[in-house]
Amino acid sequence: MTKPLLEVKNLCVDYDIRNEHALPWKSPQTLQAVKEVSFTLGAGETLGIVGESGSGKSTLARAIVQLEKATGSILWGGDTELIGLSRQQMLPFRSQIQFVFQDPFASLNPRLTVGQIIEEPLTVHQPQLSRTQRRERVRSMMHRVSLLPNQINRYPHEFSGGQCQRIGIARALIVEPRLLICDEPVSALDVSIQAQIINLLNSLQKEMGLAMLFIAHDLSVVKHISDRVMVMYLGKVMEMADCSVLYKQPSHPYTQALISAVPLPDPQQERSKKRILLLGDMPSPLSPPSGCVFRTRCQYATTECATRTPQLQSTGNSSEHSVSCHFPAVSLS
Amino acid sequence: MKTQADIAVVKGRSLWSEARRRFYKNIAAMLGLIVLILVSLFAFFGQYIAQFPIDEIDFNVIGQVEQEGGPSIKNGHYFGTDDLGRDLFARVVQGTQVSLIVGFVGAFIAVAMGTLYGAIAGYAGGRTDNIMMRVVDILMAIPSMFVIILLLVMFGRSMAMLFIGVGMLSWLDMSRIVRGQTLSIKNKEYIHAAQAMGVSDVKIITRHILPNLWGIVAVYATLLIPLMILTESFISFIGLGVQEPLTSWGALISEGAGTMQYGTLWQLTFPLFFFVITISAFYFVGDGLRDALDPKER
Repeated sequence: MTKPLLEVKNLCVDYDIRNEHALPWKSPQTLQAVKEVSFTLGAGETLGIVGESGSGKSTLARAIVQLEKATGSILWGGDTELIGLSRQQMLPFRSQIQFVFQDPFASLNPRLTVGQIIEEPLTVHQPQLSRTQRRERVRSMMHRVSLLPNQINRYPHEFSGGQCQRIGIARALIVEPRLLICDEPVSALDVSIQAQIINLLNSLQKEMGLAMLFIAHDLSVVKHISDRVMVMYLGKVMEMADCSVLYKQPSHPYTQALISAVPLPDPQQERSKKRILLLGDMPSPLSPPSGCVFRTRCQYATTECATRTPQLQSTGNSSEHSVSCHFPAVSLS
Repeated sequence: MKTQADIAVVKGRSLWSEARRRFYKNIAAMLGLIVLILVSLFAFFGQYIAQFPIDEIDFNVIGQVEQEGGPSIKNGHYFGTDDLGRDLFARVVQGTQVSLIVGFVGAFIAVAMGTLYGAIAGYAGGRTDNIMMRVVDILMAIPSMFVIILLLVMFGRSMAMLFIGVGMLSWLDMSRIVRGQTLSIKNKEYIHAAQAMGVSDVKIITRHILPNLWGIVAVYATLLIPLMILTESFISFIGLGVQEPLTSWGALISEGAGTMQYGTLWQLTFPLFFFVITISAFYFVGDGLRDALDPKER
């Protein structure tokens, strides 16, 4: 078996929350944004990450590029541990892992031209290139993401949201990374533009052999683009499975609820479909529930769920399908 | 058929050029700018028009300033003479120079120090930020006018002392404003993008944070210049500040106010006129800049 491109083991991200008026010697509260997340990602593969707001998806992604301090292990290419690397040591890996952000406008510096924005990774990672060579690379990259290369001197505010997102993608791909992390790249866009961007990502992925970590809270988008899907809730992995398996046989009550909430294009089906309503809000991550974190909103919760924390385990039906629930697939019976 | 390369490169319109366009449309601000240009020209070239040096006493007028010293084209005292018979035109030119220099130098010190200090504190964040801003708080608690007066009294009245005093007083506000702005820019996604890309901190500050700060810095600086001029004028008015035979608007206004009751009103009105139009013009320009750079705020 070939080594996976990215292997994340027991990744945790903690924040110290300090009360504004607390005395300086009081120890701060700890907020665990990501708890013991483990997954692997092979070259050219796409892993979708879904979950409600505040479930730790973005924090996980930011931890992988060391924008957040994390503990655990992030193994790159099967042999390099990324956690604990100094800034200098991390630099060569930054060109291989690139990031696409959620807000297409906020992720581009309004004072720089499109050309300057797209070429910035080149100036950092391939400083030996001359100005004209860089310009040439930028032009060809703009062409690849369907931007007109003659608009190289325009500013971000002269583009639409979809075009800005293409600029963001061009900036990420110009250093030819092996892994692209997309943090909700389409959430801020219209549905028709979403489809364009998704298709663009799909075709670029095939061309360049990219692995992708695709974060979204729109399950239909994730279904379209992912090979495997990971469902997160309150910083923990609830379920992980192949895309086809997860959508057909969701085992975790939370996944079931999420999937039942996806609107169907056919109004007749939509009306007849049974929806699982989740009551209440996600509990505060400062004081997560004991045992299973989802039990406060789970309709099948028992006393066991409050006392024992379920581990992420393989379900019987497929080796790639794992779930962290004491009573998986209740609704299937 | 045209290929991609044949299409001419489209020229982008930067935020700066859009702001410039909005500024040109603002009549009050443009008038202010014209007034400022005229006042600056007056300060630069006025000495070549003046018929007398600033410290020469005209013995034709001395002793009868009220009758002979009024503004007149004939005897060369365009603005009249002061109480000692010195040419007021030359002195107003000189006062304008001093006041503008104090304004610009003071504002420059404020911008340079305040921006650097605030940007570093804001970008570093955490404990560094906390300590740096507490230092600013402490300095702010010291009554600055008192310190300036003490400095001038202890180390003598010199231009350098004036700059140091005025500059020290002015960068504190600037650093607070810049720090706040930096904090909000720091959390923008394009900064995260640059960090994820591996851009160095120095590059992030100079390339991504500072260009986005210049707008607010420019506005604040234009509003700071009149404040510096006012401060200097106040110090000169109470008799500290620049030394004879040099003079400034504040000193001239002070002299003019002293001789008001003798009927030599021109000694007050000419320096006062320049003072008022310049200060107003700076405020109009500052307002116009704010509107131009920050269209959402209106």
